[in-house]
Amino acid sequence: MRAVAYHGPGTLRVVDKPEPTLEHPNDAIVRVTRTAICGSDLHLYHGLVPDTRVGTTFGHEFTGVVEAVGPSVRTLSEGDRVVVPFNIACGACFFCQRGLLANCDNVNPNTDIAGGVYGYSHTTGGYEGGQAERVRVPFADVGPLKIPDDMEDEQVLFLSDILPTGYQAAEMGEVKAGETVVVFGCGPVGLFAQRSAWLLGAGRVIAVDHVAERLDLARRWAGAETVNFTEVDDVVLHLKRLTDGRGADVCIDAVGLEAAGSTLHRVLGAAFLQAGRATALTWAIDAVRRGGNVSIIGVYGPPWNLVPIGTAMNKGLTLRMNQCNVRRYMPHLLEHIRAGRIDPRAIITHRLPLEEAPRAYELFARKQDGCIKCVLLPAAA
Amino acid sequence: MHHDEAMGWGVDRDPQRRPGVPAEQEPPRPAAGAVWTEPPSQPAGRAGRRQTPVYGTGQPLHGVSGVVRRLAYRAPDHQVRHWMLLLLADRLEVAGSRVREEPARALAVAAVLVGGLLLVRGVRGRRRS
Repeated sequence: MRAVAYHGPGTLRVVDKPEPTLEHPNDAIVRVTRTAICGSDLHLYHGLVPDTRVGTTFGHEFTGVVEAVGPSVRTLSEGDRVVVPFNIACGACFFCQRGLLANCDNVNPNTDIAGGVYGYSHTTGGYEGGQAERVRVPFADVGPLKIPDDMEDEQVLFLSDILPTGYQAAEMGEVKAGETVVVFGCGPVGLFAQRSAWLLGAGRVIAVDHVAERLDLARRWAGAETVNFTEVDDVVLHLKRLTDGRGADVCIDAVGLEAAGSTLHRVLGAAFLQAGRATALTWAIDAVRRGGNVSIIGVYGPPWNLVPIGTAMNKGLTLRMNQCNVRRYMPHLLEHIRAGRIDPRAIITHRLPLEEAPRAYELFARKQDGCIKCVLLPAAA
Repeated sequence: MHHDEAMGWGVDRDPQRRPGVPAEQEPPRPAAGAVWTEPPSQPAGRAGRRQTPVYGTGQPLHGVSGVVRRLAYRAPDHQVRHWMLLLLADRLEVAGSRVREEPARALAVAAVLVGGLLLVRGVRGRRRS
């Protein structure tokens, strides 16, 4: 089958790979119909996630059709259309029983700090990803959600990651009615966090970025007030001025380790003196009000980052963070899509054949051609 | 935008409607579809830190990078050397892969590096004399 394969930082190729096989009784094989490039795939693409091996197929956002199931699979059968959460989870361990499906204990032999994720290095279990014609889906009875017959794949594709991730980001902010929410980052997760903040009852949503098309979409589609941090002297002071000098009630870091905006963080990140650049997180801690909440959904590589934890302590902040427990959110957000409260397709700017994945990554990484979200179409789709 | 204009404004303002509240679900219970207490295991046989019932089988360890990764996995997550060795192994693997794929280019780069080294040594030797 054809699949995207990593060949070092900034280098991807589309190659022939062996077909996936059923390796566990609860596995399924899914023929991929739509697969998207996530902002966090760029961290892999740039070689920033430890144990990203040459030949790895990325991709943790995909829909597809079930082609085969293992002998213990009860809920899926051949021909079912599914959207698959990016987390691989057993559903029964200590963590899964508490709803922490992102932190499953039974799917990652390589580290104690992460669960299992499709196509996201051996640090998250060494699973092959969905940017391929077919993919092995472990714990098929736990993760995949059947796509309702009356819905198109692209309507639900982002239930696999970025819509629940954005929603969980807002939810971890514990937004109360009327509160002011600042979202750092207007990429796909940031945009969904902004929309979700409204669903949770925010009174104001302020979006911060530096890419004109993204700020425009935040204004038009997410209904946010926008701040281009390159056009203000000091983004923290600017945000405080916008919030009566007090700071926002909730700040969300939807950027992670490849943030722009600080030369210091850029240099330290490039020299591996910290795991990427914690610029957005630093701004979030500085711009939130005393006693406020900071929600971290941006991805940071291990092992450390320079963040102003003393400021956070003295301000009495609540910091909440995790990878998204996607499966927990899927039915609820499917209801929002059905009700027309969110149409996730609105953020798709590019659809390209799987064979053009290297170009798609380049467009997305360089934010060229107005690229906000790129969907890949395998030939067999 | 005023919040009244936002599509679906406040529909989830009651925390009880939010799927992730409380953060840890009470009482603990298996996810739908998980009919096992301990999931069955796929055949053992990988070099990680421990055996889990399910694991990825892509890109097994190999070569020099594999040796370095094995060393990395001897160190626990909280030790810096664990992550630094993994990053080192990543770079070694990429370098090895490029040498195999483009030997002529690799040879040219190596020649330039060796040439540069010899030049620097030569300049230093002349300064000393």
